[in-house]
Amino acid sequence: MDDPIYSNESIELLMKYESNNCPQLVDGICHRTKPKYDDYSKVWSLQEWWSLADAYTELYRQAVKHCWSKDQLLSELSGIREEYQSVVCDVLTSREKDIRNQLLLDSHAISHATMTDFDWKLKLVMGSDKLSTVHEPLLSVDLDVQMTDGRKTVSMELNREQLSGLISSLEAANKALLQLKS
Amino acid sequence: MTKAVKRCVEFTLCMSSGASRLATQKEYALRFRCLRHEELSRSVSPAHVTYPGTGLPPKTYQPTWVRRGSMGIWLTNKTAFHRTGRPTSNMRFRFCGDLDCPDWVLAEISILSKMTSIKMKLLCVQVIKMMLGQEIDYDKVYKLTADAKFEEGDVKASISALHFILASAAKYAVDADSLANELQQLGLPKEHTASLGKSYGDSLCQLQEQFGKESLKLSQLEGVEWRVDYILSSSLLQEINEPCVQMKMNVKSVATGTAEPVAFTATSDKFRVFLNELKQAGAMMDNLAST
Repeated sequence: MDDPIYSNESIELLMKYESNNCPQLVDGICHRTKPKYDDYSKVWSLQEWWSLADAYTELYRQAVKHCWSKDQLLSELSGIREEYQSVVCDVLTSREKDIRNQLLLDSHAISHATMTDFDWKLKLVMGSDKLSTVHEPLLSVDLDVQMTDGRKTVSMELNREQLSGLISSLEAANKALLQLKS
Repeated sequence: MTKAVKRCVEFTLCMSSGASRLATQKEYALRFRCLRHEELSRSVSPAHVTYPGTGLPPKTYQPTWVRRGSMGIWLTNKTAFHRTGRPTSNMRFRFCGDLDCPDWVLAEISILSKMTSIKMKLLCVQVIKMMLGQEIDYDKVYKLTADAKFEEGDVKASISALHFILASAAKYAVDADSLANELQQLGLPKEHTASLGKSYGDSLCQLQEQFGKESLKLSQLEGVEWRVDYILSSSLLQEINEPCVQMKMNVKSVATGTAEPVAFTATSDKFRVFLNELKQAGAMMDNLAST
């Protein structure tokens, strides 16, 4: 690459600190807690911290995106000291799967709306104002949908016929999925 | 005087606030005449003399007597009495959900009995039609009620009384015979109750089905569409090769009453879990329905 976003200087910066915080930066990529600047304020200035965090995040993203082998990664890191290279490589090998999974999820989320979660509850309707005894099972389904402009919960009630209709429709989709997977 | 008649008279006397405020001679005579005409198979036991809701003992209870209609229904300011002298407020009717029959229905029953039983049956058919979601034919209704010289108010009242009786009976799943029997106890002539019971019995299943449909429903799923995509690559990952599912659900919301499409993507894993859990819930539902 002619103009990498990460520079060797910023990667070198990390090595000012004795304990390695690469794994924590990877957590940041995986949408978990990022390391806090407060913990490292004695080692780096804020500017340095930003550039190093960005550099590492981008390095790992690129490495996973293009499925770099160890050699490719080492050639990218050729400018820095060998002991640091091995540390960076170790982190990548141990966390590559995590990063890939997260990027996969992020790719799926490139959409106007994604289902992030769902909940259901089964109820038995005992009676209503129109009929004193009903005894009909009903399923409440809540779908959490992440839209581009915020979260939305879609809830619906299904009776037996509606549920079996939904299941048989989705079953067909599942078949198509299984065909693609095999 | 037979024993049963005597007991009824004693009972009606005791209704009118004790010895100091005995019913007037006229009232007494009126009531007694009613009693005499009644088959006295059902005797009145003193256990019936309680006033739920008033909290007053019988002696301080001062009803204002009003004579309504020809059916021997006595309406007081607190309760209604059948011509047996039995306070209907103590009666429990299955078609009212084991509660007392509302006073206004009692009053309208006397209006209904002014019609012939055949005309009332035809009116019943119209009311049932309305309850099943069809239009009621008002021209026909006016024709039916013309003979009985009903005013517009009477027509409305008789329709709502029939509506109440039929809807309430279907709500509590009362069989046709019991309904006919209970209406007879409320003073509707036998031919009327028989024809009403018959048209009710014929349409009971339909009515219950309709009520089941009309029962409160929250957001309903009206339809689902899906599409399976195969993701080859993205800006984040060069090679993905993973399927994903696009779903569109038409959800009819309670607030607007219109179907609103909701479209979203689900990863293949999430989709499989979703489908599996729906199947689990479906199995539980089937278990519930079979027990």
